[in-house]
Amino acid sequence: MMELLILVTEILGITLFVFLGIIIVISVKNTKFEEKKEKYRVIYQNMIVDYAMGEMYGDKSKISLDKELIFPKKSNFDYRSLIKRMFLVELFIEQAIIVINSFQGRIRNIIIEKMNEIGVSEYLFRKFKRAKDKKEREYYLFRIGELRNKKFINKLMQIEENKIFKKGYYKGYFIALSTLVDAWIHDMTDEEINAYIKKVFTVLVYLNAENEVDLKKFFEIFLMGKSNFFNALVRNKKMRKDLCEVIFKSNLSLVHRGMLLNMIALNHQLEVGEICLAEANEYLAKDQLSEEEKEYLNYLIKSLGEIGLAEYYSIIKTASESDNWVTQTIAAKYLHKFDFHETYEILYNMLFHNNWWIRYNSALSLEKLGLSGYQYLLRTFSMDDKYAKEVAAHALVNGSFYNYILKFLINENTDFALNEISKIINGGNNLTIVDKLLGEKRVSLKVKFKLIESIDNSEFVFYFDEVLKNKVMENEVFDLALEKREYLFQKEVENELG
Amino acid sequence: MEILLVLNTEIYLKVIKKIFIDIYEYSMEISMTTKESMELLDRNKYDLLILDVDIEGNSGRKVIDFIRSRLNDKATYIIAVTQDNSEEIVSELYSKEVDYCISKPFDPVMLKLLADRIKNRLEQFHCEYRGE
Repeated sequence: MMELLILVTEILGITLFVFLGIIIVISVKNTKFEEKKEKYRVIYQNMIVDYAMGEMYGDKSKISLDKELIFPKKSNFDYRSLIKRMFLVELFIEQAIIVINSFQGRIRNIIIEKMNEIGVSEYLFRKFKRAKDKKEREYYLFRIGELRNKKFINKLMQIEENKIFKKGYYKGYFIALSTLVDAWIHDMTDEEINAYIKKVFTVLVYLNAENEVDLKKFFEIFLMGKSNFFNALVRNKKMRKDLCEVIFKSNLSLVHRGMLLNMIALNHQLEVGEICLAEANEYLAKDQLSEEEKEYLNYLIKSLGEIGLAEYYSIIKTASESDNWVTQTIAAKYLHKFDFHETYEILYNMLFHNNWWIRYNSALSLEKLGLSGYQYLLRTFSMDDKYAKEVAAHALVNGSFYNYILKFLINENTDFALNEISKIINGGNNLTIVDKLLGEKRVSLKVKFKLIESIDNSEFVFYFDEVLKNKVMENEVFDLALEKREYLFQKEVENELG
Repeated sequence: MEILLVLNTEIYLKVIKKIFIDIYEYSMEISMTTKESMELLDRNKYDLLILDVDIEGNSGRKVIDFIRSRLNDKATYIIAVTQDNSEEIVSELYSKEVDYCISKPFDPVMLKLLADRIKNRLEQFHCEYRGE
């Protein structure tokens, strides 16, 4: 028994010893490998810098970067050294990319040209085609992009879209393509720009479909910010249609599709209207819509409203009668773009809707319609709906109506202006307009007097109390406000006493 | 002209050293830390300071404050190299009395041309001062 125990202990001791030995050997090897890697990294970086300097300044230390040096012929190496060599090739390329990314000007161009000449991009392209998985493919694509080799980026652009998406390497592809923006955009022909935009856009759409990226952010960075792209998009009708086709061929969810169509309508004024119109008609005609479909329809209505062509009026009108309050709100928001007689009536009726958002957007829309719109808003003050009055007053006081009326008051053309204002003051409980006008330095004391005189609404007792307590105002106006307060207070007391 | 280069990015150091020291034979001292650079500035007088603002996590600003405020040296030209070339950062650097800002990635040839320009100005100034 004792012997067995000793034997087991010995075996365990030997195993532990061997195990420790292996660990030490591995760590020594790793350290050596890291040392070697560092050594080669420095050698390669020096080689590349020396080469560039030699080209730039005709330095004596000029060295040549021959293809054979970087990519030795297979026959000269056994399998093991070839693997080692491949690792060194990657290390070399990494150093070249560091120089390309760190500098601008001649030094960068020299290295880009040289890498092209000795076939680095070709090498990466071959590796990309043979890559085992998505991660590896994206890595090589990214590297090709970083080398900013126009020939190879064009080659990438010629790859069939189906291939890209079936193999799912669009993220790296997008990054590779995006490097083209700064490097080549000025050299590109219109056709190349168009092809490029379409490619980038397609990839963006697919990226979004996979929920991998914030599409809006990418879209803004790579398309909106670039005036060349913007111009290309605006002037090129075919491009607009191409992009819309991309959206519809993709496997985007309805919500994402709607969001994208809306983004194009908002930012690029593209002719997405036709598509949105057809789609909106289809979805409005449906009896039952899923939540996703409802959201999609809202994006379509929003896009049509944004574009605002007269021919979209009937669909916006239909949307304003929808049983979905969000759709109705969107329709109300954009109805002001369709200046027809009927529009005013629709918006006016929507002021009395029981949903605040619909009321609010209808009021803002009416206000945007100008003089006739103001009249419809003022009409609410003779009605018995305090909510409609509230939104109407808000739209009038905070919109262009205020400045319109202010001009009359500044010019002491008071009859018309005070008549309009008194509808708001005495028809509702709007204090803001009085407060704003009393604070206007350009309005004379005489007009301010008339304004106070025109107040016949006991809600203002409280307002004058507050104003008299807290506000700095001209003495004469102060006295009159005090008088008015007393009058309104008396009137209120009398009313209460019956 | 005496130049102090405060940078710790290997590739930039290599290229700038090659161009300025090996090829154009400028007199240049190199520091890779802010602490060392401040000691050098305290001990010696330089005509031009080329400074990576992003060194040691944006500590380059400390070197600018040290030379302009602590040493009250308004004469040394400062070229600040920065990764962030946003209006906000560039204005901030100019408000700290930096003379030139260049953003990364930069063209080393342009940096050398800038140094040449400063050198010419200093030489012209010295000639006028001596009444030549």
